[in-house]
Amino acid sequence: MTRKIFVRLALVPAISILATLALVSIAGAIWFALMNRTLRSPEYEFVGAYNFLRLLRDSRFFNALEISALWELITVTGTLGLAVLLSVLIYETVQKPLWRNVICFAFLVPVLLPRVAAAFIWRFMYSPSLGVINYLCGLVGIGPVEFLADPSLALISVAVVDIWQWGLFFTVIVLKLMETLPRDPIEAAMLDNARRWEIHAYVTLPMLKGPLVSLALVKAVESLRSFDLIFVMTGGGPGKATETLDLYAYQMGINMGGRISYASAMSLLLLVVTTIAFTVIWKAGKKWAA
Amino acid sequence: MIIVEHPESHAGRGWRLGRVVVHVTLAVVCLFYLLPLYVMVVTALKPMAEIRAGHLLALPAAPTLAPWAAAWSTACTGLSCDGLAPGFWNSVRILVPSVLLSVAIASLNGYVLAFWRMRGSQVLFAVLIFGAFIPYQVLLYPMVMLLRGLGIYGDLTGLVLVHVLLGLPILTLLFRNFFAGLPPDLIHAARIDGAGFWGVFLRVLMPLSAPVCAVALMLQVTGIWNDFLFGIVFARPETYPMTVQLNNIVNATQGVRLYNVDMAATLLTGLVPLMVYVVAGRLFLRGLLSGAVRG
Repeated sequence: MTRKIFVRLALVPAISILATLALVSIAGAIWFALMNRTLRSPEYEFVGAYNFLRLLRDSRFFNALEISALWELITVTGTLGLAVLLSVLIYETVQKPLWRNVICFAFLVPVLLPRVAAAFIWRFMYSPSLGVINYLCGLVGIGPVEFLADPSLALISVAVVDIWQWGLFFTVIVLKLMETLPRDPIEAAMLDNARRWEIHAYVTLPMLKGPLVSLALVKAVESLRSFDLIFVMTGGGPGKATETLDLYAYQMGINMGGRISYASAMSLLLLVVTTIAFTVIWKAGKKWAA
Repeated sequence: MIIVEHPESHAGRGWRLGRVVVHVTLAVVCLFYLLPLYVMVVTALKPMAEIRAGHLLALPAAPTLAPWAAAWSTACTGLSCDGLAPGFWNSVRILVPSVLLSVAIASLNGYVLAFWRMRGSQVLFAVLIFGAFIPYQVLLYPMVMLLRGLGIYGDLTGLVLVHVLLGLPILTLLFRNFFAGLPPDLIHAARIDGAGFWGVFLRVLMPLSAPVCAVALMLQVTGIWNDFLFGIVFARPETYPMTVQLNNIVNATQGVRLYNVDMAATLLTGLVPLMVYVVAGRLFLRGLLSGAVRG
């Protein structure tokens, strides 16, 4: 047996597994999307593009699309905003390596908790009657706020939990990246009598543009997977105020009648939209960072 | 007219005001970071009477571990009153094989992709990236049908398979990037010394991979332990992982809401990834910076 054949044989299991994952699943999703299958009944027939056409007339689908876009926007900007602000502040105020390590170690704790766990902690804190946040609000005279039951606050309130988990984690990464930057340009700026914030705004952060764009993409992909957080905190409610595409597809496909064909069509549209959107944004981001 | 600012003015009032702003911001962030963790721990140690009396921020006056015991073994879901324990053991039975299998396969894949160039490896690479970023929703229903077809829908085996499959793309990329960053001379030298395909992999590369293995381990342990979506979709009540069990306990509708038991259950569920992190955390941080975040 030649070496080449051996290597190919070693790859066979890996490739077949990946093929199952990527190709069969997507092919399967397309296959289902063309039928009117449900989990309840074994009978089905081909309906062509019917599911896709109906999606285009489904106002709940467009609501979910809008909520998903909003969710992406809030969580990505919130996470990166907090990470940049906080890493600059820590870089400036905490000089001892020991303390920095302690902070880095501690800031990773929230992101390691299951999202379901984070969701329950915050749901308890948001509680109108026994929640800590309303208790603190009460101290300064703001009446009980229904953070999760008020349609205008619910999405933001859930996003805060996501930012609590991921913003602090990204702070650690940005801080570590700042520490690896060359000192010369920073010292040159200091000699020019630049203020501290000017040094960061015009020297250090521009040097980190590339990694920041990568981090934004990672977070954007991660935010698409926030199903469990939203599901546990609000279940998509109140009304449809926090119903992202994941939740709607889940409600359609698993919860209500198991309409997996309709849900498959929806997730395929989601795949197409996100692939296009991420490619465009990624290219623009790379151009901007270059 | 041009106003020339005096250099020393930076140290004046404006800078002092800046310091106040900085410290207030840091204090707010500290509160934002700590409050949820504090509330979770403190609430889990209080009897319900203290919570109902509105002592929300106070330390427990009479600390008790009773809520922990209740959460572990007697708390009720809608179906049964066995607490979190069955979910914990299910999660362990899912976690261990999934992590070992996915890390083993992914490291081998990464090795082959990095060093043994062959036709089609570019395509494979593209498939990997696509696989790493694909929304899970797309895979969900075909997976349900696939597992049903194999007759393992609802079984722990099915969940393990799903976790291994979905972990592979990102882990393979991780290992490939790490191996590709090693000096090629290292492999040449080993080959000259007579090491074969497995020799290079097992004796040269794996001993160097501790940091990247730590990252892979953390990603998989947290990802699989913390998973909720696959748990509710692919498991049935006897095979529910701990996160789903936690959800069912906290959301159980009958009876009075026991916040202390809820928080104890939450804490217990989060303890496993935290403990792994405490053990492997230092390596994890190092590995994270050695390649995982390079754009």
